[in-house]
Amino acid sequence: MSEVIVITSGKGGVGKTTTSANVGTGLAILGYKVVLIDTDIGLRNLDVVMGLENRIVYNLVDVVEGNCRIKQALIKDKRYPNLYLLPSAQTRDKTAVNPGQMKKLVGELRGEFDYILLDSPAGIERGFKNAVAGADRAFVVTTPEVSAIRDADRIIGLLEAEDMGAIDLIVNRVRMDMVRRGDMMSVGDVVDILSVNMIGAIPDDEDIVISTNQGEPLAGTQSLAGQAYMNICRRIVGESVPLMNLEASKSIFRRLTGLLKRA
Amino acid sequence: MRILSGLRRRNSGELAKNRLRLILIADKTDCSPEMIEMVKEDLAAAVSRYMEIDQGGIQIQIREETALTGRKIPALYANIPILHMGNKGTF
Repeated sequence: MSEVIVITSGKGGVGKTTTSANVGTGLAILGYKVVLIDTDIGLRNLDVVMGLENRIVYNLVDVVEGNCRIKQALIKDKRYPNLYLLPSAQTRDKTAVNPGQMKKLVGELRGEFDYILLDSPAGIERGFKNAVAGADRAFVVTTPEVSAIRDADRIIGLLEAEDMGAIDLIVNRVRMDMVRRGDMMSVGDVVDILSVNMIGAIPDDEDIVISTNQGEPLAGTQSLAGQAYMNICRRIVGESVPLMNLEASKSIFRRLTGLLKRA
Repeated sequence: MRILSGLRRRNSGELAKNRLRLILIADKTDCSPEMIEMVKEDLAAAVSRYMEIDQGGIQIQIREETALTGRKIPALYANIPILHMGNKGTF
């Protein structure tokens, strides 16, 4: 019934946390009951991207160590009735939790939620192994850059070795203007190189920075990235949504100002 | 100078793709991109003794294959586009 998805990447800074926040929000908008778990112990971030940092009382490590019940640590997002966050601990490190404990925790949440999203830390060590332990499927986030794709390839290899049920790719921060002039790998190139199914591509969008500044995920808004994230959510729940044109709604005005800036 | 740097920048996407291909093979097989480049060149030299090939279009991959014994082993795949069959009169 419920599905556990780990969002991972290998390389840091490619947009795992932003993706987790937006996919979680999008699924909640579609009416599913969702819990986001920040598994990056020591480098807590998902709470800030979600704008829920002021409401943390207990965290993941508290739950695992039995200092509180799961329900006490879950933060309910007041903007979306079905959305919850289990924040990470900031003052501990990855070794505070082990993969067995994560599996148990996720198992207990399965009865309560339709989707459990695990935001993985960067790297391939303990934190990654914790995040992956209880997951049914994985989203590998990459950007169209050599270093990020190389790390994604490594992560895909590790996930396959762990017998991960399904592995899907999310290509983040695509700049169609650069792709068009041949200075960025296209989404097709990335998929071709990694030979793994792609569940969505997200354009590089200024609105993402603004939304992170505000602590309000933009899934469900009219922004290009917001629409792209919503499409991913629809695909997760089984709808077949065609890949969007990543520059569809860029206005003529913005194109013109873009041209002027380049000249 | 600006013209030069402009030229170098063109099609850096394609460059990235080609670099990545070599890097990934190297990562998986523990052999260097230079060595793979050398294998590619030697293969091209050997095959072009018998037929005319598209040197630029050669693709080399090392993939995991499941052997008859069920064990996974790396296998070398070479895709060499032939422009013209038949010998070029070199032998």
